[in-house]
Amino acid sequence: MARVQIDGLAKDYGAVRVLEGVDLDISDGEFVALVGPSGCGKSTTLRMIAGLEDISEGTISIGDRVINDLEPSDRGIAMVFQSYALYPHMSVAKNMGYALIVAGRPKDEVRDRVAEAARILDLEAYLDRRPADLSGGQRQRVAMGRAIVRRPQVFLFDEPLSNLDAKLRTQMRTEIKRIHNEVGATTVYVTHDQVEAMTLADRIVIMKDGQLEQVGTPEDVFDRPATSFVAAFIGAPPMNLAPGRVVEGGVTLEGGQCVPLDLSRHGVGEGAEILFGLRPDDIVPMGHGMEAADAWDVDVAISLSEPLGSETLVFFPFAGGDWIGRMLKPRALQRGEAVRMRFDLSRAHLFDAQSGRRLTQS
Amino acid sequence: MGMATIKRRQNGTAFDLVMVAPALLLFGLFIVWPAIEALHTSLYDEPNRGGGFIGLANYRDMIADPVFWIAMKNNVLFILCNLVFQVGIGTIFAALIDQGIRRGSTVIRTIIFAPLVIAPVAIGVIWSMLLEPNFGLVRQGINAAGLPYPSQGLLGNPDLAFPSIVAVGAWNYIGFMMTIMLAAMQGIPRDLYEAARIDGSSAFQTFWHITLPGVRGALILCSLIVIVGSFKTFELVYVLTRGGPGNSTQVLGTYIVEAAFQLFRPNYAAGMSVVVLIVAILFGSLQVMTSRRAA
Ligand SMILES: Nc1ncnc2c1ncn2[C@@H]1O[C@H](COP(=O)(O)OP(=O)(O)O)[C@@H](O)[C@H]1O
Ligand SMILES: [Mg+2]
Repeated sequence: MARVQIDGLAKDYGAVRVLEGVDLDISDGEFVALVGPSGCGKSTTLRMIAGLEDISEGTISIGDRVINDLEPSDRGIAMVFQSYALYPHMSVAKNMGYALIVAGRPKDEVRDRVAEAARILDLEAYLDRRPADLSGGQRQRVAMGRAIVRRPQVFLFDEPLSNLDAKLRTQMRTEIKRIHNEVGATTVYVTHDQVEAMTLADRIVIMKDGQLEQVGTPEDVFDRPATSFVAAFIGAPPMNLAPGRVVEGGVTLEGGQCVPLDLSRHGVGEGAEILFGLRPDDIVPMGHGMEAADAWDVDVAISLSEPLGSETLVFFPFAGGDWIGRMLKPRALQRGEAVRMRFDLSRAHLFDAQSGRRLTQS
Repeated sequence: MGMATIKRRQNGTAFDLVMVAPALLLFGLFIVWPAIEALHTSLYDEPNRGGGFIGLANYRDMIADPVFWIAMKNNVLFILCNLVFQVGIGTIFAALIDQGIRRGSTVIRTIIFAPLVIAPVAIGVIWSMLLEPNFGLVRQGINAAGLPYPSQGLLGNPDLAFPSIVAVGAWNYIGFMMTIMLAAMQGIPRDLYEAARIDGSSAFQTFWHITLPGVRGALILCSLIVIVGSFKTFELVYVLTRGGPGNSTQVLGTYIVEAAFQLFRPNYAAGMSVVVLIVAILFGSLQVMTSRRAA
């Protein structure tokens, strides 16, 4: 029913084109996260869906209805703002019911629908309070309540958690997931936090400089990043990347290291300039029990180790950069300590050095 | 701890007193002393009738004086009209500029604000020239448009004089009110308006439910300024009509001057100033209280 289709969307601010060629097909009930660095056009995309920005080019339809020229209130959307944008002079109940009140709905209906949203959000005790008398997490809930009360076909979120502290953010993340499961509306969720995107979304849209880099499930974008940008953006710590050149039987990296690679997996010819990538998860000190399908062992000197409790991040200089590996049995390593690291080359990714496009086939 | 605080500690209260002394002196000399003197004067009879102590007789006269009540009524009417025309229209202008005209709003603001920097007496003179009954620009304009113009002019007509003064006052102060209201409105976060748009709130509903509550403090401040200002109004009325024709535009300010210098009843006039002062102090303290709460 409430499928969202975006075709050839573009946005100009004066002479500056900030968004171009955005195509996206979101199915009914799907939770899609837009991620990307600040300024890449996430909010602009969302605000065009909401009707708060004019559409310069392209079409947006919600549930088979082109909404380009509809007023925000007629689009069947509800939006949760980063600042919450609660009406400061109204009670929580009136904040949540405002859309129904201005639409002239009967008082009973307003009260019932506000009560229902308050129940879902556990806000029943706060209905008479003003936003100023609520904690950050409660305000966040009211903002969601205001959206729920309208029974929209599509929920739009613009960085709704970035004003909360880390602990509350994790809590509210779970809460948003729960509410999405309960309410079931199509959701477009903007965030610059890839962890939020990975944990919440059915599909992730990664944006860069006003264009889509990749659209895929969390597994897709993590295991098969379409570009080196996505590879570096998704995952914490990010994927290790080093420039190199394809030679017979492998890749020569900066500094002369030669990585033996099964090139049949990667679809590249000898002499190609590439980026060689491997996630920290796939680089582990010898004897730490990683099942490597294609093991390659390298002696390195540790430059830094970061114990995180359940694991330790291991930093070491490699191929002209600082690379990161991972150790599952926590142990502090000395600076300069010599360690033999095992690289699982079956997990290696190759990207075209020029375009950043993925070359690896699986 | 800043330097100033340290210095003050060292110098103590004597230093504080020296610093505020000039202001206190001027305030005492030109505000407090005349007020006390006025109160004192009002308890005595007029000089040409012997000048003896008569207690509250002047105040009793006031209650029985129909012109005093006309002036009082005009003052109240003046307050109400100014609230509607200055604060009301100023607020509406501010809302229009706040919502619509983003670019060029500084120019518009400057133009509308400009009359405020002109002294009310000068404004009165400018407008009495414009409204001059025989050759004034307003008459020429209205005649040129083929419309009738009252033979005594606007200010000479007992029914039109008061509205004309209200109009000139509005021209004088709308810009000021608008500027205060506009500043308050621009302090309302834009995303509230976006949220309201998504909620389907009409322009009027948004103004009523979001803009107005958001500028409540500024609105109260403007209203108090208008109330106090209109109550002690003098220059504009004096220059434009001197309270006439008849007593149709008489306000307390003009009647006090008339009583003192034309009717030669300075002690009675002093009594009326005391009444004005008391009412002004009442509203003035309200104003101080609300602006303190806002701060
Ligand atoms: N009102 C505007 N006028 C001009 N440029 C804008 C405006 N709003 C956003 N932009 C530009 O559009 C680009 C995308 O902005 P935005 O969508 O807010 O990014 P994000 O939400 O991903 O951080 C940025 O380069 C930003 O500077
Ligand atoms: Mg943004």
